[in-house]
Amino acid sequence: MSVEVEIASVFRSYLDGQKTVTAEGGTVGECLRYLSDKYPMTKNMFIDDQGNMQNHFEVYLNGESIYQTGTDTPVKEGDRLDLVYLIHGG
Amino acid sequence: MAHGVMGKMLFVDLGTKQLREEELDAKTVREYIGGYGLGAKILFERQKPGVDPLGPEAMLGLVTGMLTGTDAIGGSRYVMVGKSPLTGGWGDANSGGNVGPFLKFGGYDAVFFSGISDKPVYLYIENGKAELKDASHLWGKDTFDTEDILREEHGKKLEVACIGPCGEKLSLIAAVMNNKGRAAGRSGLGAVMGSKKLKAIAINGTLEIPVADKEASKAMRKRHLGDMGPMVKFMQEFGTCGMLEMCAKVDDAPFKNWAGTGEGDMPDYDKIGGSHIIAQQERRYGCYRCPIACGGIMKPPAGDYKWGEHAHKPEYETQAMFGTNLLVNDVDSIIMANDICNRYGIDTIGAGSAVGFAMECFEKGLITKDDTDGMELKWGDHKAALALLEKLCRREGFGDVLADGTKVAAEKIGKGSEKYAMHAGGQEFPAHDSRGGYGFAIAYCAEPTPARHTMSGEAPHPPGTMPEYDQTTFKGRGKPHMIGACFAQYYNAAGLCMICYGDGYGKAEYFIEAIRTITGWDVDREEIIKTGQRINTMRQAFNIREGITTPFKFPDRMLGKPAKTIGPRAGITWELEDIYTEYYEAMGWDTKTGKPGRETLLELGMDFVAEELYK
Repeated sequence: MSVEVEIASVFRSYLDGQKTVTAEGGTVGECLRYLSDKYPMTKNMFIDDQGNMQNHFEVYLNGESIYQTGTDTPVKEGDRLDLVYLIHGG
Repeated sequence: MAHGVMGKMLFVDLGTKQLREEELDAKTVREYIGGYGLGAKILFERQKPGVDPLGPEAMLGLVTGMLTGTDAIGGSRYVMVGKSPLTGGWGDANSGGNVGPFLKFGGYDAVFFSGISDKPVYLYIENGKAELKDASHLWGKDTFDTEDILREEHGKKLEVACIGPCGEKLSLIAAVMNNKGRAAGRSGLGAVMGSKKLKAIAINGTLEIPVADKEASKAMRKRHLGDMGPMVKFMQEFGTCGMLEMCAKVDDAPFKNWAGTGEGDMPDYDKIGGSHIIAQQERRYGCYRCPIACGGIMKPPAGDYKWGEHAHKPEYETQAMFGTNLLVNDVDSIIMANDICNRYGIDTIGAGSAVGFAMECFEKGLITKDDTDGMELKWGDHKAALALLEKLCRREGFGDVLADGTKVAAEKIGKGSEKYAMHAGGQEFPAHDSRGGYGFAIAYCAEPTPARHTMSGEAPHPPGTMPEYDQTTFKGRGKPHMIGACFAQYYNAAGLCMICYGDGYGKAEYFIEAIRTITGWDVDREEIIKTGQRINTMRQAFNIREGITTPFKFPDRMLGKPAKTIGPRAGITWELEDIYTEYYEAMGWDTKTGKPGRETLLELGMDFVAEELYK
């Protein structure tokens, strides 16, 4: 499956300056792993070596949070992923 | 004596001008750590309940932790403590920069003030000696000038915590400031400092903090620096302002005084995103020995807004409260608002919320140009927002109505305006939405200090902090949230930066290693949780004795009543009791009143508190 991942402007420098990128995979986790492999500057940023989603990110699939189903959430062709970084300080 | 601390507290009676030192014993440090843990214990024991927070019997503390100024990554923090004039209950506020470490280098772990001086004074500390000095020449000065003048008098290595005009004028949302842009902003403790006519605490210090194993401590820091969390590079590049467009996208950020949505009210929120702020950053700014340095100093202004030299980069909270919250898409005005707040010494969250409240009251016709000194307060009008902010900071005209926060402003305006005052227990909500924000919602209503984004048990922690839990419901969340909150209590009290804890430490065990190496204690995860519970229970006991029962109530809007109709958080409506009940059970606090249970107090070794609350 190919999904479209929207990249916030503050992360674009880690993904060759692109506003959206295409990721391949059958689940959200596989798509995030694909990004990690293709764009080395995002290694361990979205997903760790064991395949767990990093806890400072929320992932939205077609505008819906995937909290409940996590990285195993299946994706289909043309889906859209948003990666949202949330911290509490500042 | 414990390691990691200087072992000495200073008590200053501003009425009699007497200064007295006390030993800080090792047992107290291990049980209450420092920061607001130590502060809450001292105030519970030595300040009578029911005192006027702006009166002579009220105490005010500046307290460090045993990791402050050490090799622990992020050990830069101090905490101001006191009875909050904003909430009437326990108050604290946390700041970075250099003041915390330098208080210890100056010979003290904590300074507590009582009484009211007959004239403006500042406390000067140098290597174990302290004296009160006349501050008549500083009174009325902003925080930048205050720092500059004191450095001219005491040398350029001086570190200063001070109030600006807002603290002097007893604004209930006044901050204590340091390093011209780091703020102990919440709880209104700048007003407490102003009420005491205490302008500043100025410190020169070169003393060494004793640690259990100096060589091991150095080696540990080097190792930890080599294995920091994956988001460090992002925080180095942007800091918290990098979050805005993402928080706005999922309606975590406030829009239109929390009544709006990004999609419906400000789809161009990316105009004030982190990239636009960073484009105007001259250089990064870091607190004491911070490897992340998430702060920044701005370039000289090129546009109409003329912020001053050394203006700090707005943090996310400021960017959202003066940006999306007001539907302002002008990034320069946000940088300017931040600089105004820093110079006058005021909490940017409280001030931004007060301006948003006024704009909504104007929109609803509850106030008119006759009330606002002729100003039209329209959403998105950044010129009006800044003009109003200046008035608020100077307590001029309509600004005086807003200068004590939204609760007091609504009381003054009346006409049903209280439903637009976005506060819990008197303190304004920070820029993360409770609707859909499970962890924030719990913290905002259930912690001893309401509406705080830095107390949450679910801040991004390094792996190994919290157990697994279902993140889509409050059911089953109480205990995991409590564990996370207890870690937060511990690191906040220890003087550690929460961003460094979340991003700088690759694993929770590194944090435990830092405590062990610096103190020599055989501390483990269980002790951290129990100590965190003790600290939070101490803060809560202060509230109970003051007659403040919790949870703090939310305005209907912050519970989703009515729910949003569009955007990612559409349809969310919550009941307050669903939010906090499990957490209070996990903390051992009464689910109706928040009162810590007698058995909980005894289990935590807080017999003196049990005697007081159950006499």
